[in-house]
Amino acid sequence: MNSGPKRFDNSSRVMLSVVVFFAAGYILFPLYALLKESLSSAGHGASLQTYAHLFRSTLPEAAFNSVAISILSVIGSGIAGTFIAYVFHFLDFPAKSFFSKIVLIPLALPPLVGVISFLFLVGESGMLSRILASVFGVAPAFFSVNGWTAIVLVHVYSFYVFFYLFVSAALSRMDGAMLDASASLGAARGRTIRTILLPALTPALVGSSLMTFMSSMASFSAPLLFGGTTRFLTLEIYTAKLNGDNSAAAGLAILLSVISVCLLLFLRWWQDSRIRSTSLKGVPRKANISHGKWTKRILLTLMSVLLILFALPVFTIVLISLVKEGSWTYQIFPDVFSVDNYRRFFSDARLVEPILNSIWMSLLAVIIVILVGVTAAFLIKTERFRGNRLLEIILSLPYGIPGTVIAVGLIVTFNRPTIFSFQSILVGTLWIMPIAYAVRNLPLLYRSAAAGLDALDPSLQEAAETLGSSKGRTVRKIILPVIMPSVISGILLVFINSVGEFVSSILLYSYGTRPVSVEILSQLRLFNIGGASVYGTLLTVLVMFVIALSNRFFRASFTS
Amino acid sequence: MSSVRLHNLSKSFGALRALAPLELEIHEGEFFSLLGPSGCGKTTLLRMIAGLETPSSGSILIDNSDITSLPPQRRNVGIVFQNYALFPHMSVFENVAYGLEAKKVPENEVYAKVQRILQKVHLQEKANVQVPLLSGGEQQRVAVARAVVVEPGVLLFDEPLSNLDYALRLETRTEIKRLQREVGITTIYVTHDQGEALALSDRIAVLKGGALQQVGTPDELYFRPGNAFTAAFIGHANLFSPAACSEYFGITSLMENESLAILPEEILLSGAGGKAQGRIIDKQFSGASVEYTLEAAGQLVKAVRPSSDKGFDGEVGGLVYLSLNESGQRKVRNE
Repeated sequence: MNSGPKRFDNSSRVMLSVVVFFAAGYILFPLYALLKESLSSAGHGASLQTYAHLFRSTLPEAAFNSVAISILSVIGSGIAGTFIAYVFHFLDFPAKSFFSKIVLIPLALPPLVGVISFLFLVGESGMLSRILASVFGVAPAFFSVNGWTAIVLVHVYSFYVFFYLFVSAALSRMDGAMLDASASLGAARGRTIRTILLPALTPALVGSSLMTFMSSMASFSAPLLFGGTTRFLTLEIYTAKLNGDNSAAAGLAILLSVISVCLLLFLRWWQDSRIRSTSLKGVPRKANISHGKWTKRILLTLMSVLLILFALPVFTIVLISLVKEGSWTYQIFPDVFSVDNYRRFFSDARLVEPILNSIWMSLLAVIIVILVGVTAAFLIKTERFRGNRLLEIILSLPYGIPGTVIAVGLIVTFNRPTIFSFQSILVGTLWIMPIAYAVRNLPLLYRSAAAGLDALDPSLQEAAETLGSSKGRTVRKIILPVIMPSVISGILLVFINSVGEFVSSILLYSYGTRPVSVEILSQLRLFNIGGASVYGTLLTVLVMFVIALSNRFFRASFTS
Repeated sequence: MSSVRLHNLSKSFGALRALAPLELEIHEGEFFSLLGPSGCGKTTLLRMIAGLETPSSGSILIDNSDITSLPPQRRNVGIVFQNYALFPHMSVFENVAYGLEAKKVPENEVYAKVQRILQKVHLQEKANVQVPLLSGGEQQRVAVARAVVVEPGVLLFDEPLSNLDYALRLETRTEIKRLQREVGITTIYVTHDQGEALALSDRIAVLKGGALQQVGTPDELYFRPGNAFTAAFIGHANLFSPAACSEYFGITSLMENESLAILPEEILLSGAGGKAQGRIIDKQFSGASVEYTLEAAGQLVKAVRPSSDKGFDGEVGGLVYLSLNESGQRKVRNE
């Protein structure tokens, strides 16, 4: 980022060795261990027997299903997300800023909580199913969804946000004068949208499609709860692990990661190969397209329906947590409400434990991620050393690797002593889950910190130097304060992701360290709906609280 | 106040030669400009003096001591960046005080010095404002104040006016000149605007494609350009080839690799009589003067007449006769 004379001093060397230790021990080594495990079969040394077996059995079906469900999810999320972004950008309506927060709810909802709220909403005895059935006078099963439909619905609900955020960003970056020019040259609205707007949005659409595809491939909670007997790659890994077939689990994990990492690399390559938009003189005007009265009404009605659907799952889970245990049987709508569930919850230390577990394990993960991620961003962006590009790629790898794979990788690596764990066994200890959370979220914080450093004008550092400021002082007084907002937002995201993490937790937990998400599942398995919804509600409230905190923080940092 | 000497200084980025080895001497208290089109190496040169770029060869001497290998912190060279590089999370006061604090100046002294310099740049009222809230011109003044307050031996400017609009640019350049005269600081000023360089500088170095073309006072560069590039770049001079000269103006003393450089205001126009005929293809009135674009001697020729001179008034499309002012006939080397 700048070409000034730099010395790679001792403090940099210490920082670099911490980063390299983590990258080698907890990202690369587990992948290597997975590969090795998948090639070992019954003590014959390396062989492709596991893969041959997988290809003959369930793998083709599971792979087909995973790809198919991912394609459907991309289509659904794309339509919903782009539509909402379009309406939010081009139409004005009351309480817009309030609704713009509603739209982001799925982002905040931990995946498992999203899935169970769908279960409560449109499952066989779900609330919406019952209401619709009574309105139309048919059996609730008629309106309940499961299997493929349910999984795609949950995916659209969780992943449309990618499209919404990418497309919104592209729209607000776009120079409105382009659309005005098209209109003044005589193009009708449809033509302007087709020939000007869509091409300008292509990068955003491709980017979010790939993100959605990858997330759907990696999705675990929805297939687990709605999939029934349908095979999906992530479920196959989980099942193989439960059956104790480590080499099959490892083989499947390798295949799934290869698909995901290829997509990720393709996405990176595609983004890098795009010509950056030319910077024009002057301030770009907000893009605008005019709509007729009726078009506007139709669009807004459609969007209101969608918004209600987005708010419903949260509403449902809170409502169900307030239903008195055993009082809701055949009624369409629960009628006896109480805070019994909460009272029981807070009076039993064993029930509170999972929440506390999740919080401290997430905090531990945050600390690890700060130590490794921020340090790495700092080294890679401000010091030039050989291999910095390679290190960056390694640190971004976990972003493309499904949580299931990361968990299995950690298991086959650290179920025996290694030098990276200082000759101790990590599986089954309180360290394994924070490490998994940290590995999964490392790319996120690395990228927020790196983005902050990229946006940092290199001449700020130069100005400080020419004013006689030492390196340490420049970091402390200039670089850190300037990148702090993006680092803090990254840290909060890491915490949010970790506190509701389910996918790798389910493979790694032990009873003493069970996190909220795992406890939710076991409550569900015991048909303790009240208990599960209390956990879901508390988790959601915790996450919302953190988000509110971050909003406040940002407002403060921008207005001060 | 310091003097600067550049000895055999050059810079390459890989295979790309940004600056060919050059010698320059900048005197104490001088206002010295580095002038040239973009990509001429002027900013690279400035950054090497500040210590932000390592020279490929040669040395930099300030007050006769070699500072080539010193880090920026220990050079006592201040710089005003093109985009100002103000610290966005600090107030005006904190920005200006930054360098003094880094130098561990006692707090009460910091306060006094910052107040004094803010007064000089007319910003004492804005001391506690966050810099993103300032206007472009105010930010520019903060950048200058921040660089000057540490009393550097040499003050560098990297195209400091390019982000300001025209009126503000004229006003600010007067301010910079006033401040420089008051503080008496040795100043090296990078610009691609020849008008700015001519108006501000004691001396100017003209650069092109990484090579030094000519060093001189504004008057020297304007009236005695060393080569065709300087003539065209500094004075917008018309360049005539030896063939055109002999055929058109009857001047036959040019060598093969020379051109005749004639400033637009040195071309005399008349409605009738003369050998060199041309056609007016454009005419622009700009208040004090009228600018003609002519087609003559097989090329485009610029001619400028004072608008108060009512002796000639041609119209677009009309024929016109050119003659040359005796004093204005200077031969220049083609590069």
